[in-house]
Amino acid sequence: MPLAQMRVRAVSGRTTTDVRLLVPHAMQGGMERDSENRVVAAHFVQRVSIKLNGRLLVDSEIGPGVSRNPVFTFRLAGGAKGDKVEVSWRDNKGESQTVEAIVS
Amino acid sequence: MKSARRTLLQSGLGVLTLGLFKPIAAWASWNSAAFEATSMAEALRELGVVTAKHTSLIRIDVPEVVEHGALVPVEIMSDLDGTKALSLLINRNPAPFVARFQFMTGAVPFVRLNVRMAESSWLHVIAEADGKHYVATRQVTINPGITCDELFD
Repeated sequence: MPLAQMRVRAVSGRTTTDVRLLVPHAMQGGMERDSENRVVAAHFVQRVSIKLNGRLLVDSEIGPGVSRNPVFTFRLAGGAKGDKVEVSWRDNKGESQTVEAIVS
Repeated sequence: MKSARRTLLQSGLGVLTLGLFKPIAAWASWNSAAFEATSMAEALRELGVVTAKHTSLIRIDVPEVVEHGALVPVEIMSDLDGTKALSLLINRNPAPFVARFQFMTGAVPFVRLNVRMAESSWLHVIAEADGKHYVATRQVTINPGITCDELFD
């Protein structure tokens, strides 16, 4: 199944920049069963990181306790219009995605 | 020159090395023991939290009552100086440890996310600041239902 593209928005406020991201992902914890009672294999995002102009600012470890199609908002001190934000995620099967956004 | 590049590309070696080595270098470890822990005590031990002081400087914004445990909006923020990380745990979930966020200089110790809750529970946020742990908690009730009395009021 091809992965849908992660969506990223970075909006600067007076002193901070909010980075909002949506990762289209099933976040299967490996505890559920399908309609034929087969265990659905664990498949979930494990890491999300944020870079501002190439510098790592936020790194995270996450588990299946996070809801399906995770939405996160992070806050960066500073960040001006035109700065480059880079968001990456990686899941337990080694799939990953990196998306760039320009601060607006 | 050109033929050498072709051969390399065709052998798939370039793609293979990128695919194999880049993720290992780019991503640090993931605390599987903490995520697999089935009790709060075990999760805290795996996270290296021995003692945590209660504080009002960690702010947790979460609804007191929610209809559905599948999508509970949570906003956490720390006003403690030098907060390096925030961890989120839900003690009545089958796996209490939800996430740990690490904030470098230049990031505000703030995050908003949606979490799953198996049942009504306490939600704990642990902050790491100058080598110490701090904690704040909130109670969340899942779908309390509606009684007949309430319906006819």
